[in-house]
Amino acid sequence: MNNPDLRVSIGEIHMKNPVMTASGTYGYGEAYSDLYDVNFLGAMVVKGITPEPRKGNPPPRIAETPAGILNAIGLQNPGVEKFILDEVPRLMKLQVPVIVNMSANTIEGYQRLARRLDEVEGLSGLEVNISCPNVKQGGQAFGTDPKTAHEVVSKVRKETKRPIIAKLTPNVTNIASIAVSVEDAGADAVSLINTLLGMAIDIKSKRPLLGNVVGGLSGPAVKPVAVRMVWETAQVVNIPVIGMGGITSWQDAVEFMIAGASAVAIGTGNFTNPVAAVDIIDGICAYMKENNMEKTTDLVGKVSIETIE
Amino acid sequence: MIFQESGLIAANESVGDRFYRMALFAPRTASKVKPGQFIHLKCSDTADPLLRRPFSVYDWDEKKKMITILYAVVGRGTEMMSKMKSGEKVNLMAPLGTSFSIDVNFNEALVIGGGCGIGPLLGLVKQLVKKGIETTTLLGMKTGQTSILIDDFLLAGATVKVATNDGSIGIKGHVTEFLENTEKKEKPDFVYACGPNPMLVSVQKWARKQHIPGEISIEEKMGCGTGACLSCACRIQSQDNEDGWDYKRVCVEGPVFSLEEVIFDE
Repeated sequence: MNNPDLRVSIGEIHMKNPVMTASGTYGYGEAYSDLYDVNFLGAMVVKGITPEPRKGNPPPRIAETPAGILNAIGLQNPGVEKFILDEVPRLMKLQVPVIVNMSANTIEGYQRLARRLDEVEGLSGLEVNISCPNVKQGGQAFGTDPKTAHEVVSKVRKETKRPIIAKLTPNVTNIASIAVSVEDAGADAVSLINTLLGMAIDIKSKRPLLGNVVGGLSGPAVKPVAVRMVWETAQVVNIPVIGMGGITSWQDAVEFMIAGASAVAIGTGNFTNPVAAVDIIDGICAYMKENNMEKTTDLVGKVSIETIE
Repeated sequence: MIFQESGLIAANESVGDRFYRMALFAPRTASKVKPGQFIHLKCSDTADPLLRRPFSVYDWDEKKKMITILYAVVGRGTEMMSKMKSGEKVNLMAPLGTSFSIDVNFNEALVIGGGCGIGPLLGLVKQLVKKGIETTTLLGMKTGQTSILIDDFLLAGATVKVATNDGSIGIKGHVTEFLENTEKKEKPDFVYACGPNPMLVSVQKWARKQHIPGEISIEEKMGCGTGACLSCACRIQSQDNEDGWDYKRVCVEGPVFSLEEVIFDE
């Protein structure tokens, strides 16, 4: 049998395989370039950009927890202008779709970013981050209410022709309702999950392990929550779902796809295995071949659930 | 150029207190590493503990294709490492971060290490001595149980002074007490240091007062080790910024910084 066709399209973002990197775990694509050719990726989502530079939160910014990590980076980034000046020229030379993750404190900030990034050539899409748990203003606040989420995405929609991915927070009761809302507002896809808000305390000093006190939990510990949310969301939206949350192996990636993810993103998994993305692409390919699947749609959403009377 | 290498453990021995020395057969790393650089070691094949652990390279031998790390058992990861046996393999990423400047032109160097901060210093001292630089090493340790480390530095050809918290070897107290007693004529041309922050703060203050340049290796909780995640942030002076400082990454812009530029929270 021939190799399966791994191609996936997220709106107008055409990817050669369903594996992406998750924002904030991949820098601006330079961090892993010594270790493998980043052009193997389906797409690259770069570290979140804000309208103005942000210093980020005081350290410690990371704490290890059982099978996971808590982080509170606080969206440290050079701001959109410096990003365009310093990072985009290098990113443009890559043969891989580059998606820019963007955040702002205000809806006007999101509009401004979308407008500015729309003028820049060589970028394939925008991931609208309405889910960062580690900033005082904005961030997650935009993604916990279907109305506000709708407003942000619809206003960004007016500013750009580029595909929009809305990145959703799991810190809600009903993530599917937020997904439905951003789909209606014009999002081309949803990506989920961002991190789960958490906390860890050093029992000797009685101090929180993070400088920001609370932070976002990621890694294998959150995977079942993410799979459940992808499954719930995929059933109610007609746009692609990009699944992420604790993927460290091809088996994890396949599980997300069976739950309904058209594509997957590797985040924390990059830290333990710096070539995780490549291993996962190979693993998905081998799994599909072994199971006589010709294209990814033979796999996506094929969870088999027997109805219980 | 960063790479992954499978290191074969040749020895993993307790050197007293909670310290261990792990020798690894790691040809690529041994041929590329510079003093002060670190490796990012995977101490478990399972998801828990999840993250790699960063260790400065204590010593290396390009001919024998070996590297050595000095580590203290401080948590679950290092606890697991301490139980590893020779013959086992561990995955590591290397060579990471910045290195100490050794392409220098001076006569006398002072190298100060406290506790785990002794970790990046042996290879540095060897290189300095090889260049004919008169090197004095000040070592601060909790107890004299780790005296084998003193031998490492003596064998490297350095003059060594020791301070222990319990006074079992050398002077009783902090290693920085040597600085206060350094006479003007003994002033070194350059200082290198690694250790707990209070020690580095003292070294920085002393060096400023004496107008001695230097470099320090600093530590922060780390995620990726390659500059992607921005977890290991430390405050560094910066003229690009209105308030005079910026967060830099210990894993890429560090761990070795110029002594002058690091801003400590006191």
